[in-house]
Amino acid sequence: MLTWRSIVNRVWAEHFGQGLCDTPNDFGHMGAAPSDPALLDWLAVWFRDEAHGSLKALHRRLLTSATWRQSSLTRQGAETDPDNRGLWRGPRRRLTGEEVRDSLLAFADRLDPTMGGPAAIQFLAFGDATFNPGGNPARLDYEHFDPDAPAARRRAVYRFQFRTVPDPLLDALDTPDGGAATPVRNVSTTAVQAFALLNDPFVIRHSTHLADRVAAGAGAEPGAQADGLFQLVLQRPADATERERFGAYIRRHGLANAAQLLLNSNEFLHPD
Amino acid sequence: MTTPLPRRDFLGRLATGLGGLALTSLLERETRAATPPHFTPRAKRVIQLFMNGGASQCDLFDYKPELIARHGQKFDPGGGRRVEASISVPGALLKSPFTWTQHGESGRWVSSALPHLARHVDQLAFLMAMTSPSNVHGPASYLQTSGFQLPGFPCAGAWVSYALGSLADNVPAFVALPDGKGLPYNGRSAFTAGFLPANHQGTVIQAGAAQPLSHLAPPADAGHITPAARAEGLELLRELNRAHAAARPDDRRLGARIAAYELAGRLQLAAPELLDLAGETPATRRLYGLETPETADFGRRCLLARRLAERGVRFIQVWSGHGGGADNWDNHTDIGRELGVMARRMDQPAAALLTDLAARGLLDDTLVVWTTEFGRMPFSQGGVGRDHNGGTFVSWFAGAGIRPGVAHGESDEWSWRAATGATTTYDFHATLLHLLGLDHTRVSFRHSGLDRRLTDVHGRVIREILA
Repeated sequence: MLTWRSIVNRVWAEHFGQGLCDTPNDFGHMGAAPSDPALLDWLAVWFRDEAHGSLKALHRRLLTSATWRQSSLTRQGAETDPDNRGLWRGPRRRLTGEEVRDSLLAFADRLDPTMGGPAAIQFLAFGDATFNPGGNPARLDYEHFDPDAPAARRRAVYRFQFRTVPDPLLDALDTPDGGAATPVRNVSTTAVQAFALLNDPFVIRHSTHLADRVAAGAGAEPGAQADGLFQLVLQRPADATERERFGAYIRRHGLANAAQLLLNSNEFLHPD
Repeated sequence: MTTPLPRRDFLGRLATGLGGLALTSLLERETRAATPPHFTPRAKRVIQLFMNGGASQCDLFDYKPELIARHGQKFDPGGGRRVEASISVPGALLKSPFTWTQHGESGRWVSSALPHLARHVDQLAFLMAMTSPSNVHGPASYLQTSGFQLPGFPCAGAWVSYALGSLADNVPAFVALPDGKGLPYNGRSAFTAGFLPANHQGTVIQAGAAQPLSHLAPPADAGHITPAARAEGLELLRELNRAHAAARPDDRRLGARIAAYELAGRLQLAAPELLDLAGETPATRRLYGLETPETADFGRRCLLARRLAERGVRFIQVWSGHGGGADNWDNHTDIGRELGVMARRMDQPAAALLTDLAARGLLDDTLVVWTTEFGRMPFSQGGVGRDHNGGTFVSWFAGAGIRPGVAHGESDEWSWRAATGATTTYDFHATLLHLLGLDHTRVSFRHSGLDRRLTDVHGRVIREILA
């Protein structure tokens, strides 16, 4: 039964931001007690006996549940359960580093959806490119790697993960370096993260691509451009004030700068 | 921004009024962690000089007449003890190519490889019998940086950042200054926050690079990001984020992110002054060896370490040597030549740092530690080189809370194994935290069901070297 409990808890944690049990790698007495043991057991038995171990069925079950589809904006449980352990509101996750990177590519309509194959090397490598520990050690350069290179367009999950020299953008967004099992990721908030989203060449280049895409669809009028930008990045139209403020900003500083602002917004990084 | 509050009203109250200021400073404190120490600290900050590669104790500080007397003989420690080397066949006993003399009132022996540091021995407290269970660079370096031989654990600097935070609101708590030639063996994992929140990871400053702090400025080809576009953009972003946060008051992460952008702004303003060594006097620049090619890189970073210490950074790590096949302390081939070069690059700047900190009164509340991942063998590898030796090596402490001029522990007559007062990395870290006012058994973080510590389940404060 441990296996079934363990896997449903992991899938749950991916969708809800936290598992029914907080310590996915430890269900023993050193682990944390589940917030709802009966639900965990029921889901594990359901997954085994009725879904016959189909992860797809499990994802569908969770994502079509009334609990997952709740708004994250309700307030009624804020006093009694500020950590939302009882899921009185819908989850509001911080996007992972990989999700941010893939989203940027998708916004710019440049995401390469190819699955599998050899890892995509998303950095420049000098020295021993076989990364043989006995050889002349490779020097890695992420900064000067062309953000438009074909390998850069692959999803982050297919990137070559160089464990001791992590990608600075993903690293700043708490993507683990792969050196150790990370059952639960940190979600930290740092100045380094702000710098990365403001100044990383990949983010800047894709803000420009995003601007080009919006301009092609929305035409030259800044208010309409702001609308197009909000629709694409935040999945909603700009309200009247935003259209006015962003329209004025676009007029003064161009669409690419405005696009990058939305990529730095809390609303993009913490979707409701 | 579909907020239940009229947007203009809320902006008026939060963004510009006094309420906004109070909120901002509250959030700042939150992002800076900081718990009070467990007891009165002796040191406010730490500067760690890390000799990457395994600095040879028996060519720098561990004087053994027996090794000189038996030079060239086959090594037999007696008692049927087996002699093994890490990656080579043990050669004959090898005396140091450097000469030995006693220094200071304490009469410490220091080899001719370190003429500048030799003048400071009365300020230093030596750990003469450090031991490591590993004599492989990766695991031994992880042990020295994080207390564990495996990757994934937070480094000492990250623990200090987590426990104490930074001393100022415009600098990070933990800064790493890697060698100009490259990163140490474990790459950026040598500065990792492991399972601690990522804001505790070492901020890497590449002192010699065109852009010392990564992501501090947009790339040169991003001409559309003018200062005005950036400034007005950040203001607009703040508005957008505040309206978003106001509609979600129970989510503290949103406010913390707004504050992080403000800290980034302060850091960006502080960085140019912090990194600019031009204001240092010619005498100071000469002291650190900035005008000499051999000492310029390590010297620049030691001087930068002092500036970071002055400006509130808690834990500063200065690396000597990188993870490659040369230009580090991993001197397998020719001790005289390879170690000689590294010693000349490190010696004068390290001594200058001690002199300069003392002159500015900073040594009273700054702890300076000199470390490496393991030592080297008393016998030769391939004639005049030395292989790795986890059996005994030397570290030293200086500054705040240290009893100057003492030595704790002793190696055997050949400098092969620790003989008395063997000291582990756990003891080393326990002592370091102790001097910062922290009980190493109480600085913990729950991860995967365990309350993890820098010292695992070990560690003894080395009272013998405390003032």
